[in-house]
Amino acid sequence: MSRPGRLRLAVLAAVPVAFVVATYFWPLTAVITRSFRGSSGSMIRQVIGAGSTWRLLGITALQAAASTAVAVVIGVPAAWCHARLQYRGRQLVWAAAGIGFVLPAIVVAVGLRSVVGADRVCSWTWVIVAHVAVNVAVIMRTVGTRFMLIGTELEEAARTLGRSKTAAVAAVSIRGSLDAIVGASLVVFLFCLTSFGIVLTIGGGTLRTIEIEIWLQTTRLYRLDVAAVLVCLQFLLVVAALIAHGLVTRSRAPIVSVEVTRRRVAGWAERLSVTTISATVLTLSLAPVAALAIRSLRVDGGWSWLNYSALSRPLVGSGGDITIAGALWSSVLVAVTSTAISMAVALPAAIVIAPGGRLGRVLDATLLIPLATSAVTVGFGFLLGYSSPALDLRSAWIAIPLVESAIAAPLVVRVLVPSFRSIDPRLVDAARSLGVSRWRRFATVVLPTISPAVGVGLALSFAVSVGEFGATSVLARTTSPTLPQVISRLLGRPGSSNLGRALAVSTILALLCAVVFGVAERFGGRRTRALEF
Amino acid sequence: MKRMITAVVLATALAATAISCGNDSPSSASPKSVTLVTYSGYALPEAAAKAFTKRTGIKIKLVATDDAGAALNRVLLQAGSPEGDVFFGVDNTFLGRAQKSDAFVKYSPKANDDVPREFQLDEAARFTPIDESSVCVDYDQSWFAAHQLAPPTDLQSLTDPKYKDLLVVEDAAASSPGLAFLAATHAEFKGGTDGYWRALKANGVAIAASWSDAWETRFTVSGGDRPLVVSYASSPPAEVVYATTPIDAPKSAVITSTCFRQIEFAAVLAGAPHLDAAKQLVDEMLSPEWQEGLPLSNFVFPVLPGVTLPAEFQRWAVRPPAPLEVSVKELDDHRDAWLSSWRDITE
Repeated sequence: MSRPGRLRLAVLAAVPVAFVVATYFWPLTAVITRSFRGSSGSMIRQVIGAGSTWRLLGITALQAAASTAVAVVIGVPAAWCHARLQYRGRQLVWAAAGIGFVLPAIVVAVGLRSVVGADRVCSWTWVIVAHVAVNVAVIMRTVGTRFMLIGTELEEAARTLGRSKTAAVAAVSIRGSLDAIVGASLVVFLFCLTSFGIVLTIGGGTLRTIEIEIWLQTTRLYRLDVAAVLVCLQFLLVVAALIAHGLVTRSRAPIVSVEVTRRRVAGWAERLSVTTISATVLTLSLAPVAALAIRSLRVDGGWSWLNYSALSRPLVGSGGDITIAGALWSSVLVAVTSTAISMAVALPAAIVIAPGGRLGRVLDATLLIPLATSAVTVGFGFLLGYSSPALDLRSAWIAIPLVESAIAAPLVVRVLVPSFRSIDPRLVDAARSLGVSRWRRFATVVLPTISPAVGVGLALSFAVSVGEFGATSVLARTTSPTLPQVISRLLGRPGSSNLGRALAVSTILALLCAVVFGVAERFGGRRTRALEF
Repeated sequence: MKRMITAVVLATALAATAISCGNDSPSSASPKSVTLVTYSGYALPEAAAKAFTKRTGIKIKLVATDDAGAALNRVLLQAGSPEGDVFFGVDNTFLGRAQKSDAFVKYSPKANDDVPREFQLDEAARFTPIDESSVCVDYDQSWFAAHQLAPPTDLQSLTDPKYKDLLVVEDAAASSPGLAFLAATHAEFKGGTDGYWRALKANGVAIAASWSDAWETRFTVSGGDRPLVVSYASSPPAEVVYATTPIDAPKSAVITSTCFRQIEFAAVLAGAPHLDAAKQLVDEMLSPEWQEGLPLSNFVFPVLPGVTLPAEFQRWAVRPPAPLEVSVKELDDHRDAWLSSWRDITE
């Protein structure tokens, strides 16, 4: 790949930068300026000085750190098994973890509640379990790819030098991947720091993190000033973690495709470990959804399709003819639009980030910020930032796809960058010296390399968009709600028939995300690398 | 590569154009519609809404988001450039906050003269009472029968050790029935309220994030673990109407001495794009037909006298004779302080 010039990169970078400013920084500014209007410096000092604020920060960081630690403890061995060993179900475990990541948080939380029981689920332990279920894929995939790059030879060399098996792994693979492990851990830490749907649904009203407190202060207590102080504190935390992430992952290993040889599982101890790890990942990723599906089919102690057949009836009191089928259709439409926007932003961003210059690194980190901030704040930012008569996006159809793509685009960038990096420059040069035209070079060298990643990126973006809840729930829609909005509406109405329908819609939503992402990975996954940070 | 960059820039530009072209918002300036801003649990009384559209040609659109308190805050936040024309869903626990804002204009339908004085809480004639209901502690009759335990009779008895770990309430900071129940305890215990909540906490009260959390997942009637729940005086008929498979009688019943009355109001929004239609809609909400539709759409009582109640309501709903009360002013003066100490106690 010929390196694009600095100017051209700057022009390309303008697209994602403009996008992040419009969908993130401008709404955030609108919220913060509106919130601080008429408030005094003493209030800010009071909030920052309060012991309760620091306790809140401490709890938030602690649960995020614990979630990350557990994800590492499960994810790193799972990654090692995937990279080094050959066993039945190896690809299944890899795919299941990925599906766990794309499942909507509300679905995971509601599913976990039905496994554990609503009375017992309300504790930090289960919040951590849910966080691990969603995020273990990030560790597994980031670290697993690194293990494959390191190759088996060094580990074998260490063993011939007399190290034990575990010591050899520790000395070679773990030490060689330390930056990948720390980098992925920081990203997981960030996701858990600002996670909303999981903590709210599992924690009921009692488990509070800084994100929950922001939501509570903004939407319920109407203390915008307090919320804004917390948003700023959270923002600082996120930026600090991102800077750390940028420093750690600075020396990214060159991306070359390595043919990895995997050996068969040997001995009962190893077999037991592999089975335990695989079963843990599979259970974490799939049990909540399985429980949800089962519960949606139970009516009054028996098996029934009743909750599903009830889906064709219009929603009561919606002022017209909103049906679940209609909501499904409008969800798909919104997600497709959001996916198109994400791709339009992610492609130029990936081209800028792939060469790895300073501009690329800054853009990389900037794109991660929206992913790691309060979705509720961004939603409110849209309400306040785009309410002028000249540009009133609040009830515009495009508002929801825009917000969703702000969350999906950074993930797509992560899928595209490695594939841009893996374009073999020698092939491009060879083609050029043979006098092959630009378009043919693009069609025969670039396109085949990046197209599987584009496919997986599209699917990932679709799955994330279709399940987005935090920001979407803030943005009102009059005529065509999305599936997560329907779930929240159904959960807010009395009666077991409404609850049953909510479970049925959740199951459909989960299946939609899982199938779209699963299928795309199945066909493009061998050569692509999704969910790496 | 250069071509590719050009292609990408072009695609982005196309996408951007598509965005700006697709930007004709559905709510803008079509004169034959009115937008009702409300909370997500709200349901239009379908028959009355259809009749209104048929008679006037005005279609009703809904912007329904979140809990009642959150929906109000959203409106206050956007005072002057509202998302719709009429707001429905401010109740007496939040009325004081709404009255201080300039998000609403003065309007009072003629029919409001027929509504009893006890429901009129706004002297500035901006907020029109539409319905009333009561937040009460409900209990699972079959659970108490099966455990041969007499259900509690009042708020004080909820701290009795024999009811340990049986009650679930909503988060007072996050949910509007939760706040109403907190107000009920202040009406009952005045200065002793904090002590009462400490006793409740010691007796194992569970806190749920929302009404649906409490009722659908914690209440034993829905398969949960708690036979006492803060809900509504109209929950028993709702249980009958919304049963997945028909049932003859509700399993839940109401402890009437614990009830706190909620009155819900409608108001025309300042800066409403369809002011006339907005006034017509508020008029309509006090019409006999709309009022008759309220019990089965929202499980509340109409405020207009002489409206016939549906059979399920006549049979199963409770209208507490002497509900607990806290004035709008007192609530508004103390809401923040009450919530703050409630959060400290229950944390």
